[in-house]
Amino acid sequence: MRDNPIPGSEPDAQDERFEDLTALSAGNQARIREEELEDTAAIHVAPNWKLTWWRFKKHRLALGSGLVVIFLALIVLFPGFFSTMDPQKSRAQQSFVPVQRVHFFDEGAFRPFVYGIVGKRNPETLRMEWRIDEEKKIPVRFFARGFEYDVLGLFATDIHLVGVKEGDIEEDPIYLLGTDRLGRDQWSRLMYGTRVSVTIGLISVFISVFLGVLLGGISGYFGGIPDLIIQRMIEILQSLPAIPIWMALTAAMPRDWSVEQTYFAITLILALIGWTTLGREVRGRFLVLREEDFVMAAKLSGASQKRIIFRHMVPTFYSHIIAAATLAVPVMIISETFLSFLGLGLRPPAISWGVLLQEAQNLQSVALAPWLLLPGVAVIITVLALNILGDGLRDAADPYSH
Amino acid sequence: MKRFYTNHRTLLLIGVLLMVLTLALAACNAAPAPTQAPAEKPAATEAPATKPTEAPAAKPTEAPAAEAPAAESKYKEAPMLAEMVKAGELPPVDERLPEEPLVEEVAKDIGQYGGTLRRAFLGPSDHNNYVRVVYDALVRFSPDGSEVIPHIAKGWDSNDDFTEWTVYLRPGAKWSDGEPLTADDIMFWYNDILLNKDLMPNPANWMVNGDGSVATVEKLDDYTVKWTFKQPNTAFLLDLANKDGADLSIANLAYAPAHYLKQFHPNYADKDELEKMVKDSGFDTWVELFTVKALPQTNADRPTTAAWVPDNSTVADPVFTLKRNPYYVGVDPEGNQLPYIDEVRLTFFADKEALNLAAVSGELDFQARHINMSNYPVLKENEDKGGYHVVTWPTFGGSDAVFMFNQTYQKDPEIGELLRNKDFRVALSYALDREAIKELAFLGLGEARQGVPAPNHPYYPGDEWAYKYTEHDPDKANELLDGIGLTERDADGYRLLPSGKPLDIEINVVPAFGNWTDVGQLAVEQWGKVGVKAHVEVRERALAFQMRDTNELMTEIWNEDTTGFPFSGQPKMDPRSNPALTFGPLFRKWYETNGAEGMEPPAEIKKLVELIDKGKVSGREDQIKIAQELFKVWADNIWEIGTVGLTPMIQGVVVVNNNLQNVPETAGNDWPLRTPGNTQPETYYFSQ
Repeated sequence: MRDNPIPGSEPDAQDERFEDLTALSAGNQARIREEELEDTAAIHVAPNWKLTWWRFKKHRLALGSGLVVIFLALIVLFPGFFSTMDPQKSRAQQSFVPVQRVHFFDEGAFRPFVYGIVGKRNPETLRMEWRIDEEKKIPVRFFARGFEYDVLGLFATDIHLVGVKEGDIEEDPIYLLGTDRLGRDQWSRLMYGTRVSVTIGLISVFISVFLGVLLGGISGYFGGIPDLIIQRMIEILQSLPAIPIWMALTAAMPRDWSVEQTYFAITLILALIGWTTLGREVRGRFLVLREEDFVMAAKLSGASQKRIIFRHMVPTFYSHIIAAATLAVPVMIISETFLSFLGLGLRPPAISWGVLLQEAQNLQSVALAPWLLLPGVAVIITVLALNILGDGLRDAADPYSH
Repeated sequence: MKRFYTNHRTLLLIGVLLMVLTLALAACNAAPAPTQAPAEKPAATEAPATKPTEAPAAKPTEAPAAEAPAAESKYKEAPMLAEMVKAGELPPVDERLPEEPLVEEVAKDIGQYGGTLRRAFLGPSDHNNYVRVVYDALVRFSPDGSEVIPHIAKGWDSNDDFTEWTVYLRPGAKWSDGEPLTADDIMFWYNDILLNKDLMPNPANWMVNGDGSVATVEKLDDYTVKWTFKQPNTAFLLDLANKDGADLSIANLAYAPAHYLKQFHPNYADKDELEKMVKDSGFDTWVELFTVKALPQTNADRPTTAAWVPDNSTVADPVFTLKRNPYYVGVDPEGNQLPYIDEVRLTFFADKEALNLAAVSGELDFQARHINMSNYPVLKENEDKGGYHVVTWPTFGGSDAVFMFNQTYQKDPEIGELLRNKDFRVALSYALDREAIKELAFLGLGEARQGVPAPNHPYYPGDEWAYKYTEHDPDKANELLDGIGLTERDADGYRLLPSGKPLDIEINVVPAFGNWTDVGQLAVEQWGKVGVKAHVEVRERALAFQMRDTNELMTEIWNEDTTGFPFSGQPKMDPRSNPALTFGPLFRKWYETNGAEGMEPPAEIKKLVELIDKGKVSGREDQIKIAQELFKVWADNIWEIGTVGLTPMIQGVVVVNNNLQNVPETAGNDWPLRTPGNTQPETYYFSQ
């Protein structure tokens, strides 16, 4: 990228930095100025990604969202590690346990623990009623042993971030987010649900980016008949209302497909509908760029078409693609969630946010076990974080935004 | 008129004693927990089958003849009808009622007229909701389900060997449009519906003799009709009590308004006119038109004999309103014409949860159907706020969630073979942790049991059979599974079929009455522990029923009702039942085609069918023995794995408006009883 800087990006970035400086508070000004002095020289030679990073860094909210997203990524990679208990295991005597509060200080010392719980079925209403047993303190340990799980399919381990003393979490359970009607641990289910929902979002965005760049690129670079066909295709796809189409496609999925098959089918369905906007944008970029001098230069120096596209043109809007992709992920996540919520997407025993919410979609949960609606909060946080991050990335990456 | 024919004194006495005991116990216990109810409840028996000999059908001519025409009206009626009489729109009540009206006992006290009973239904496929409220049949099951009592018909009689049954109608009884109800209406059903090859290619089971011929029905006089079978038929009354147009099927009729339906029948109607009618209503054949016109659920104009009749609406409408039938034959013991309540309003709910929510907020006056038992705690906690109380009517027996294994499964021959293997089914039964299922899906109610009648029922085969294979014993399950050659396992530890293909049992669940989805998920987990992979497939009701018929279902969860009625109606134990059961659709075909098509059942199933057929023609004593034998075979062969039973899961959690009176605290609850129809909703009333 160093050899093909976007024309005009550097002065722009500089201007902006000065504008921003005046807006900053006095306290920060000193610090920024120090950096500034160090960086002024660097600005002129900084590569594109560094400029982007500098600008992104100043978007505090986006930075914070970035941290949330990194945390999410960790959960996606290691849901087992963050879980406390087997997410699929039902426990006959443990249904509808409310959220157990973790107490961090025990008699002044930092010794996290939860109180034990005692449950009894109310003979009149038949409701499981839980009360805290203050006599019993269950110490919370970090890096404790629990159920065995796979790490990325590579090896098995039983070490968890949070747990109780060796081996007896089943006897002295910690339900960080309570349990559902079958006595399954809601926190662990949320962790595994995060993996499924977020990866569906990521993979389908990845596929739609691939499709978007490929088809948009062909359309924009070559023009003519391919352009016509692709653009009409995009128009048709965009003119179809997305929600009914998703519903129709997912409803048409054979019901005897396994969890994995449904998972990939949902991903594909979301991607096949989702690539069109990106395709349009990429086409527009290509239309603009192919007239640029540096492309002409490359052409004249005898570069192959492949080299022109992938070496010269695509890198100039990498950042743009990344921003657009980031903004597309929450849309995909929401789509999966609502398809599953309607019972059309993933179904139990698969765990996803949509499945969790769908299982909470009954009177019992709403009236007696409101903690089962917490996966909704996870969806909100994730979608907000990804949206803000995407916004920040776009602002930082797009030199023409000011 | 006497309600019970009283020769069989001992039986009646027992019944009464049980009733008193039940009431006493209920009274002692301020808040009876639902678990207690079943033990107290008098058993549903097929008792009436033995009674009819002594049932000298009420002498029709006796009482009214002597009466001098009274100046004052003998009976009282609802104010709204009195006004119509005054306006000359309706004949006076004495003329509308038959000479001997049906006197319906009230559960508590004499009621007041008026009000609208608000209920909910789930749309066109929920047509049996209507059937259960009106329970419009010639004879009915009693509130406790222990016997058959007269209803639209006044009584019956049979010869000594139960081959001839005479049914007496009520002179002066009328259809809801005021036309007289006579023997001709039964004859119209017999000659023009049952015997019409177009309408009924296969005559209804209950009307078929042992040799395959159809039983004869003849009119003795205007109000007397005689059925003649070629062999003793002790199940006649039980069958007759279910001929109320249930399941949206003309096969479930035993009388029909001839004066109205003739216009749709080619034997009577003008050919061109009929053809025009068929065309105009968008049908292809007169059969389709007739089938729709013949049932009040789908045709508001069709006269009925029920207490409430459709008011210009059908099950296809968002609000299905039933208004009082001015010609209903029933009165209370003080001579007030029933029903007390003016109108029944069924409101459409697209979603069961929304329906439950409406119940919690007190928007429904009387609802058990579609009330989810898992909502019991929510319902209970909101009783005061919603102005209702919850009554529980646990089922008679059987099991409220059973796994039925398709014994004729063919889609995958290897899996089909496995499902037919008794050891496999026994292993799956041992692998179930029924205590966990009971806690998680049944609110801790009921008991682990197979699908056999309740312990207090005469058909109870004994503890050994009720609890057979119900202990949780994964080791035994593993041993059995290893024993039948399922020894190879895949990477995840699931057993492979002998051919090396993966084994995956599909459990079909219709989210209909219980939270069977949860039961299914628990089974998937518990079977997984012994290496049997399974998954739950939730299907819409109509689709699942169709797949039953076409032999596509592998395993299904449903409830095992009808255990009190193995010899009549459509019992779950009979592979010939219609509509088809998951248990053996091809056996059904085999019997239907006399062995030409379908699959020949194995010896044990033939034995089952033999026992059922023998029971149908046996006297009471033998019938009990046969039924016990039947349930031993049933439990031992475990074609259906029972889980938990004796709970109110299936339409037994009843939400009752606090102002609604005469709803019994205990009642028989089963599909053949058409609960709540058997509790006589005509006698319910709103206290003002």
